[in-house]
Amino acid sequence: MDIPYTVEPRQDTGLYNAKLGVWLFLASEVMLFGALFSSYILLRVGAPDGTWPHHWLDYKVGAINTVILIISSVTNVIAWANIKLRDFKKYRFFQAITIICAILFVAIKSNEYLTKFHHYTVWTKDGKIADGHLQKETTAEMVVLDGHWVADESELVDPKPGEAETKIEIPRNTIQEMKNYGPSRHNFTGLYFLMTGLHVLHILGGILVIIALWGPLAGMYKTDPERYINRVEVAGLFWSFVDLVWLFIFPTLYLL
Amino acid sequence: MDHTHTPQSAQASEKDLADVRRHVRQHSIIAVGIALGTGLTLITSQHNFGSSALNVGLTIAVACVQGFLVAGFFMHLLSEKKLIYSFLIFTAVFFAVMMIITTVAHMPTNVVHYQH
Repeated sequence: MDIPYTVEPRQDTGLYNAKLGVWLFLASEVMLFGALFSSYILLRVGAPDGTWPHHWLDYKVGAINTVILIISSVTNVIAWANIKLRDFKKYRFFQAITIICAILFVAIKSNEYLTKFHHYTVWTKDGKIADGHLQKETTAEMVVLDGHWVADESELVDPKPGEAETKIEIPRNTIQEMKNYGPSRHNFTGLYFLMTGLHVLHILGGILVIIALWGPLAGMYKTDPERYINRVEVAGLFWSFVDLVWLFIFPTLYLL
Repeated sequence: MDHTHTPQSAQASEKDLADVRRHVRQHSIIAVGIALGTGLTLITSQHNFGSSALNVGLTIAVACVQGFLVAGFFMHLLSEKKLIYSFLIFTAVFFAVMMIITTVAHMPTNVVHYQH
């Protein structure tokens, strides 16, 4: 028995089933990300003055990732337009660019995460604070940072951009506390990792589907082209949505 | 397996081709617009407009315009069926209620934590 309305639209909805399904799914996704944005607003507005961090993220990296996602959205739409015209070669070419952009986005994001996990603040027993990136020379006796000494806690919350970085060596027996910029550091980093992590999971999910349609499932184009094109369209809708979410994550976390 | 010469490819008319070219041109222009919007977001967030609320408002406004361009053109929402609009209206209402609840939770007149 064939599944109905995989190609032709239903008379009552005017849509084929997958398209209706993906829009319902995207509506639920709006609420999922909306809840996270709501949590961000709640925590940020509720934070006492001078305790919410600024400039903890490199906006240039975020901007580059934004442009990469925009390019991937355009190539994705152009690929869909070409498959509608039955130009499979061009479809594959543009979708390959989409895939490359997605991989590039994930690579840049992974590097950003790595940087955060290597970025430490060290509080010494004599009340001094150092902030910087952990170096390979760090041993069991000595912590080596590429960073600078911080005058007080407020400078940690709102660091001055362009501060000169030097090599700082701190014996471990003089350290009172040492924390990296991972999710447990602050509500901000917790939400940053949660929101961008969930977004990256969406990127990975979306790109897996696009790769599957590009490669292993491409045979369907010969046997059932209309259904294949509908699948490409539905995957494309999801991909554009992922781009749309990033357009809000970027200013919220990196700029404001 | 070669998919490039299906019988249908011969059927792609000049009108269809012109349509796709128009689509590609339109989407490229919109993509440039969204990229410029990202630049504008950077400027509005860095520039001091005298009030942080204005800075936040302008930055979010630019993000909303970018979001509209993606949803309207890349997701073809501007020419979608009424049923999808009705879903999205429901979503927008639920989303707005969620945000209002968040805002209300911070109003000073509201006692969030009771003191005994």
